[in-house]
Amino acid sequence: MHALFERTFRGRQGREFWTAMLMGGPAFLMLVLFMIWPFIRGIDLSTTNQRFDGSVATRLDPWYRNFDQVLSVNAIKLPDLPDVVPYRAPAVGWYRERTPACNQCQSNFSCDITDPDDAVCAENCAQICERGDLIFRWRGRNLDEIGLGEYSEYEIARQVSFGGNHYAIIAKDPLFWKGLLNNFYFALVVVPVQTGLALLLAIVVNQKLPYRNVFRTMYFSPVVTAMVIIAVVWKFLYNPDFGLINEMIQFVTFGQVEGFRWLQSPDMAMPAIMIMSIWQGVGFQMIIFLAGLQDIPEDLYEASSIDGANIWQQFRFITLPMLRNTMIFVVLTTTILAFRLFDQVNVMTPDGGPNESTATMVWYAIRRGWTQSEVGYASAISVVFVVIVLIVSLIQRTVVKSESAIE
Amino acid sequence: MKSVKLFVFVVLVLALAMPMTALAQDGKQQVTLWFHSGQGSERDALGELIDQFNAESMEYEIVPVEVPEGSYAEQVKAAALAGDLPCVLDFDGPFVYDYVFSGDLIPLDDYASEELLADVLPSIIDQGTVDGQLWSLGQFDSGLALWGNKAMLEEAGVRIPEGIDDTWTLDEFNSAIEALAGVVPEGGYVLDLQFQLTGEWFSYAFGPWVQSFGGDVIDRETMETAEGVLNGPEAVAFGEWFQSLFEQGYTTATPVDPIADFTEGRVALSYVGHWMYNTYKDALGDDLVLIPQPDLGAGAVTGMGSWNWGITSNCDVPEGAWAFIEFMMQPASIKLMTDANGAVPASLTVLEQDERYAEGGDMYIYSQQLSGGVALPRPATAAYAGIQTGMEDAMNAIARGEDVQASLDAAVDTIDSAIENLAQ
Repeated sequence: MHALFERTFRGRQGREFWTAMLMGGPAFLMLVLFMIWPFIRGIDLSTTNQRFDGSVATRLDPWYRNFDQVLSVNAIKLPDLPDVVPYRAPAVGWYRERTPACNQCQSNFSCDITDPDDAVCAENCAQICERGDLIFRWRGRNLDEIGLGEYSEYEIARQVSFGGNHYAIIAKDPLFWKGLLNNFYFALVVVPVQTGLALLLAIVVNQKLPYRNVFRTMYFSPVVTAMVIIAVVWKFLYNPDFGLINEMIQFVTFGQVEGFRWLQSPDMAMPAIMIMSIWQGVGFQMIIFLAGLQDIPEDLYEASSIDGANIWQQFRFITLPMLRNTMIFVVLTTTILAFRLFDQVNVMTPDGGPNESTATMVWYAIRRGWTQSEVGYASAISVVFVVIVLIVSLIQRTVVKSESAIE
Repeated sequence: MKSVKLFVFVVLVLALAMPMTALAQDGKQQVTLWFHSGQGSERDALGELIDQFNAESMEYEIVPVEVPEGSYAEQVKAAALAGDLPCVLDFDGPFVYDYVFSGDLIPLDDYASEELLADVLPSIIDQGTVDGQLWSLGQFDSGLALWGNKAMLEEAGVRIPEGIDDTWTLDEFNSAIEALAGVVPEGGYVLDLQFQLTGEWFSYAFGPWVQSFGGDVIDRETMETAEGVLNGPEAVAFGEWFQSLFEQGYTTATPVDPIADFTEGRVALSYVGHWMYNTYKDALGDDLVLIPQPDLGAGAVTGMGSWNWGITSNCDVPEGAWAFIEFMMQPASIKLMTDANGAVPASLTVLEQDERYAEGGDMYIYSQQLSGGVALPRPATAAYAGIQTGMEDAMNAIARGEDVQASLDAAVDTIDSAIENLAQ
């Protein structure tokens, strides 16, 4: 014991130990202060109803109530569609979503189709409202009425129909699940696309082209610009009426395509954020790939060309295997960055986007904790979020390890 | 060598002592103050008032800190949790309930003299009163109605109401919008609804329209739920009408610079508060008219309440804080501020002398709305932050064309969960 102590803290080895501690000290201190301690505090707070405004917090009973609220999800079978679906939504039951034309008619003639006195007008409107696509929605404000009282704390997250039956996915906190799915959607698209594009760019700017440093700088410049500034600029670019992107689409297609309602439509909002994020982030991965490419010895390519390999074979059997470690690093960091998605979403769609299509987990935790001052609840969201990211990272690591075992 | 060390030591000690001597110099007690960094003219006026107070006061010195407006309320809450609130706090009207509920403020009843209160606009006292005690005072109240471009209104043959008694009905409002659509130039639109704003605007501006349709943002009798009120048939009728304005292109949810659109004559009506008066007046001159809030079915309703001052429970020198608030509530101080920002002066003396608010004045409509019962305070609940978020989400969703009933149901869920979390 004494000998071990002597060896570790005294003499040459001891000096090394103290030097290491001295050099690493600030970083360890920062990790404890800003990572480990907040996380422990977060776990503690997630079992309370702590608020942001100084009112006294108490421990919840049972302690996992916040987690129950976050994680509870279920599915129910909805009743069949009635023969006549009303326009006015009942507390529980089916109703018909109004088409724009129907709304327009209603406001132009300001008649209420439910009012029998306004017969002619109502007739007109009813005809217009019958036309167009019918969208049926189910509303469940009071589940007691249809014998589902046990789910009274749940809200409808999504409506699905298959096999002639209608189902609803219900959750105590639907926005959390939407945020989680949006995060996965973003990561699943952005990670492969951004990595592939970065590799392509790196190969292009690695060629002996004239002015290649100019291109390298151009592709890299979005990375050094603050995300918030980029997001504000892109918000204007995406403007459906005056935005440059729609103007360009119209110009290129000779006015055949009107352009998209980028950030205003549920289908396009997330892709719009993805395009902008990839544009912003791709330069960083490109630089890393570039460094990896320049590490590959030239003689490998020379030898292979003597053996008669074509460019594709060189890429497939030399470049890709030699970039393996770089690739692993890029995929891991891009995945974690993708899950952290917040800045651009918060600037471009501060309310979570159309139908909450751009709400993410970090965005949601900040909305609950900061805007709505429910710190305890937001802590529970964050704890769940960290666990999920941890699981995703562990799966990735396992996959990477088993791959290297094959080689 | 020794003398060098001694010299360094003395210099270090002096350096430490310096700030303290600087503070003690004029023997005044310091009073910290936070305010939201709003529009330029308002900020300048406040700076001038603080300088005046500091020059006049023998005992106290105000030390102001300017905090960005976007997340002002959140930063105040964070400071409250950290026990770091300043002495004098500036906050927007409806947050008074939240701060009183959390015990962040002290009542002003012991300080405010009856004489002072007698000159204050009743709506300001209403706003600052919670549970029978007065917690805050403001220099001005807000005015909210439609700014119109007279030349365009006349060209379209639209009747301009003279006051709150002959305001537009919903039908008239709709046909006015339709008629104006014929006169707005290419690239313009009829009605600006300030959708570039975020945060509180949506509950302040469109809450009254929901009420004017017969709905509300919360059940005002119990203050315990928004169910059946914000998602009832009246609110849905509002939402459908509101949505149609966007669908028909009369207004836009994605304006680039709506203020320039109005001042440069591309927009006929601008729905925004008193704070645009000076800008709009400079641009349009005599063509600027104020149109009272239309009656959308259940009577005309508009918003009221604005930024006001309170003393925090964290304050060591409440007397100093009150001295400043008292100074701010003097007619001369109020006049300086409202001349700069165009708001309704909270002093009856100033209001009577201000010809902009007298009959025939540019903003007579505002004082009529405030005294004629058109203006209603925002709901007195500590869950106001939930109402703010719920309304912001729902108005944006409806403007984008999402299902009205579902959007309003979601807003009700947000508000009700905020109320539930308070009750725990």
